[in-house]
Amino acid sequence: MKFTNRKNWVCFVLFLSVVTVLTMLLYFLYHNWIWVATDGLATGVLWILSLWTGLLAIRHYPARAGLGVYALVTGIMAGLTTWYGSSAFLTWWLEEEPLFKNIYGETLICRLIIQLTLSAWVLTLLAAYSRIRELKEQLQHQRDAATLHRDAELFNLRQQLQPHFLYNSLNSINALLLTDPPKAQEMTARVSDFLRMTVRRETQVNGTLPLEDELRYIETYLSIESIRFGDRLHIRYEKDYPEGMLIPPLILQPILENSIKFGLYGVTGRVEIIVQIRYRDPFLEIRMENPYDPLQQAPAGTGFGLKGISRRLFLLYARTDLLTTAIDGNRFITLVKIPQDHD
Amino acid sequence: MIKAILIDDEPLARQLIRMFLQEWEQIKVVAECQDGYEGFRAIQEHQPDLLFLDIQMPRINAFEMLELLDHPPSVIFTTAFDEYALQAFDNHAIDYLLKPLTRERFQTAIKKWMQHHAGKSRLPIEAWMDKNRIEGYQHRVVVKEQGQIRIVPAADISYIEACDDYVRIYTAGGYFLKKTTLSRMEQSLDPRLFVRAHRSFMIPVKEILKIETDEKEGLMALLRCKTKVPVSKSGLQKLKTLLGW
Repeated sequence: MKFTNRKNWVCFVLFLSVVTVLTMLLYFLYHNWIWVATDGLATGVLWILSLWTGLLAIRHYPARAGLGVYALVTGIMAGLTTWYGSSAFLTWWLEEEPLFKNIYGETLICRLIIQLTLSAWVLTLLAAYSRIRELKEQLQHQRDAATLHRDAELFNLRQQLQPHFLYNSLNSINALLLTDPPKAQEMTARVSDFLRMTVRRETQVNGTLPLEDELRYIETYLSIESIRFGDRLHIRYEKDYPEGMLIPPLILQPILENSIKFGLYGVTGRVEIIVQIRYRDPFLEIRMENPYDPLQQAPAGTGFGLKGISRRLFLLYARTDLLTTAIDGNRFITLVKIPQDHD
Repeated sequence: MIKAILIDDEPLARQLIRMFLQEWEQIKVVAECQDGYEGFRAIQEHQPDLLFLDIQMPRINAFEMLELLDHPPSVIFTTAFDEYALQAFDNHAIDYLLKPLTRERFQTAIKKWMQHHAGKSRLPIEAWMDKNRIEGYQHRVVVKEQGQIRIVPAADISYIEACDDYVRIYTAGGYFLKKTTLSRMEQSLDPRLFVRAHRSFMIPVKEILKIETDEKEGLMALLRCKTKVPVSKSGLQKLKTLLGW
């Protein structure tokens, strides 16, 4: 019990007042402090013990439905136990005081009612409090997921609208305008398609998309990058999955972008990126491989990338093992697993 | 005849510049390169007057390449960085063009360059040394070795000694010369890993075995490579602060 907590102070004060009131009652009953003390202590100790047990039972064996009823029942049992236990003990302890036994006997029913009421009441309150705390945590968890997702998309959006991608693409279009106008038009169309798709994904935040949709999005992105980097960029796909695969939006594209940046800026010459998509029950596994130079500096704009995606996957699926990376010689490998039976 | 070299990893970007330059008869494109390595070799071979240079390139960036040149030519940066990031350069009157490049702005830039720089000596090299404002701390050092570019990982450095206009970067396999100052090295290497323990020496913290006082030479740091390097009072203070002694 921490007494720095205001709530705990209140509970303690409440507890003391109840005890005081009961003690007064007992004295009024017995007019004998020794009896009051014995009765009070014995009953008190037993009561606390049974409440504690009741609370432990509720905490560790939570019943999903009807927590209130569960608490009530436990409370009643705690009350009964205390009542029976204390009367048995007291009658035995104060055997030689027939006067005490008389008075005690008269109050038996009254005690029972008080015990039951108090126990049930306290346990129900504690159970309710426990439940509220649980709900609060869930709510916060959801809020975190929403915030992070929003941040991730905003970041992604900013990244797409930011210097390198957009300005470089426009620069390429400028070049094509003079040498290959039809291709310039094609590139303009792809860039605007890509921007439109990115914005649209923002509104499909918490859901999943068919894998084919995300692949089309990546294709658009790749077609733009290919025009920019000419012959250097090569993507090879290996696909092995059934229909109906789903994936949350804006996971694949940032990973691919990361791969491309590290690949293109990490090596000179031809860059081959291998994208393997496989279904290994119950996961859709996507594995991306790109060339990697351990001596290279991380290119601009790759900081948020994998960490943010990992976090997002955790918030969506409550697992930390869905995104892994590995280095194999001069290749960098990113592996993402998307559970397929998740709701 | 003004010799120009284009360095950009995107072929279309180079093509655009080439097309714009067709309007300037006195400028001849003698080479096109797609990264700093090719650029380095081409510059040494052709000794150009003017470079059109993208800042972010594969493996080594524009500044790392420029640093290694004994006589860097004039540079016009062509970059997709936004203007905010380039504010650092405004003080140094460096020419840059923002992508997407347009004919008008390109012509203006060339005209300006012709007026101010053609025939004059190159811009001071300090002007583009603020690269860490763009890319953060480096975990490697780019040096020149027998006309080739070489990358030295920061982890391999035993210590760095200042030597007139140069620094000597010592590794297990020998040392490399780099034409720069220790102050500039201080700016580009992570201060949590490298400490300037003395006016002329910079040491990686992980290489320090112990610090001892030598009767004749004062405070010395014994490094793992068995070399002893002097430590100044302020250097000792820096180490204490960093390592929490």
